[in-house]
Amino acid sequence: MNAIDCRDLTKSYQDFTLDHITFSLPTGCILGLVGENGAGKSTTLKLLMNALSRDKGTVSLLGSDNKSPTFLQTKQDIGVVLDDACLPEVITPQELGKLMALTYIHWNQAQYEHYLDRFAIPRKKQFKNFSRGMKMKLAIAAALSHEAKLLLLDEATSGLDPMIRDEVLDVFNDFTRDEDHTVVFSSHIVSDLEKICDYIAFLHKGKLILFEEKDRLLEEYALIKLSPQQLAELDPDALVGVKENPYGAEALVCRAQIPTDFIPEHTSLEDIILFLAKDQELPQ
Amino acid sequence: MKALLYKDFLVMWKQLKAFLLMVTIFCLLPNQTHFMNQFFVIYAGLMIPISLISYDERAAWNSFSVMLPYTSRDIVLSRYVTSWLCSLFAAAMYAIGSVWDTGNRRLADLIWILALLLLLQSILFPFLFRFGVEKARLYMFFICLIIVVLSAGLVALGSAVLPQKSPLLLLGYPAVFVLALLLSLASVPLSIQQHIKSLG
Repeated sequence: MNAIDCRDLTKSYQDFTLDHITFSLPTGCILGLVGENGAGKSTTLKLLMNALSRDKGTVSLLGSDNKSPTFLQTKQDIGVVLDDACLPEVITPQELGKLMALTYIHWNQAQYEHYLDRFAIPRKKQFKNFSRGMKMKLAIAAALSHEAKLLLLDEATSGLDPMIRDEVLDVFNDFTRDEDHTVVFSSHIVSDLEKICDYIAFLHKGKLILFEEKDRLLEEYALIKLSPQQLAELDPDALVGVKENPYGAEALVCRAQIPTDFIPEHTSLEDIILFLAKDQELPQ
Repeated sequence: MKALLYKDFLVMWKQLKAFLLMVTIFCLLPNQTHFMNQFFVIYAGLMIPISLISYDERAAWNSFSVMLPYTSRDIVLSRYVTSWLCSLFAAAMYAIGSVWDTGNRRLADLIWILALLLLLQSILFPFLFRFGVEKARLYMFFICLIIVVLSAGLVALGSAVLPQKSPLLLLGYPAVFVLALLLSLASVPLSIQQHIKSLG
């Protein structure tokens, strides 16, 4: 079963269009939604939750059409964390627990207390007095404490220091140990996505450039360093993107299409995304 | 909706405690012209809910609440209920104040003030849900001005044309209140519509 089925999702603004986004995410996976600022990541998440009206397309989350009256019930199974946590300034974690207990039918106070302890969040401090890291951890604790089956995280780790980011990524990994649990995680920190994601969706200027399994991407593409002569001899079909410099070139290529005597460099997801983004910038 | 009411009362208690105290004192205090008391009834029913909307906007709670299992109806109706409860609280303080401020305060005045308050809420709230406090500020100013001037004009006209204890005047107050209450109820679906539109 797919946790998310998104077909032809389109939303136009005066200066931006989220353009015919189509993808399906199987249950039990972590999807990394990557793209530059303004690429449409937050808009996509809002449209998935029907928090924005779409111009075109269909969206189904956990088997429920997000425009149907039953979607309100489905929202009970979806945990959301937004970029700034977006909680009332004066609320304390203790009061947030009460607010969420009145919001979610399956609110699990013991689970919430567990996360407050795990993240060392003081219970009686007001939200406005927390650091950004603490704010995000509180929002994550709340999102994980109502037996959610799907987590939608919008830039949940941006602005956090590496230690906290690692801790938070561990929590998401733990969450998906249950095969019914799915995570959609938008970020422009590609290294975070590389650590935990099963699938990568790359949005660029409102268009879904790729939606692929992470391992497959890393198997399919490779970074190689070439002399100008080697570059000239390379099959153009094998070339995904190239950065030329006075000493030669660095190229992203399809592994299967390069001669065996080429030795690929260590290729990260970030390298692949950067080359693909650059490729999109070039006049076609 | 219970959750949203809980959140509103939490924010109100923590961020608007001083306002609540001020409303209580100025509604209770004896006052020669009782204009001050009436002003604070209106202040409680209008400015406290508007401040709550403003705090929500500053915290970006609106972006988050639409992701949670609340409907637009829950979000809008909870704000109306908070406003009605604030109005009732201030009206109760005003009524209690009449115990020692005998002679100055009349029940009819309180009914008139509550009607005015409901009218202001019912006209302003759809704008607030559509545009937010920041953008609706200009509309708010003109709407308040027009309604207050019109209501003062009506009171003056009524007093000039009709004798002080005319049954028409005495019946007029409850009739205006019922009309304002109906308008307030009718403005709820309009505000829900505006809230949905504001989501884009």
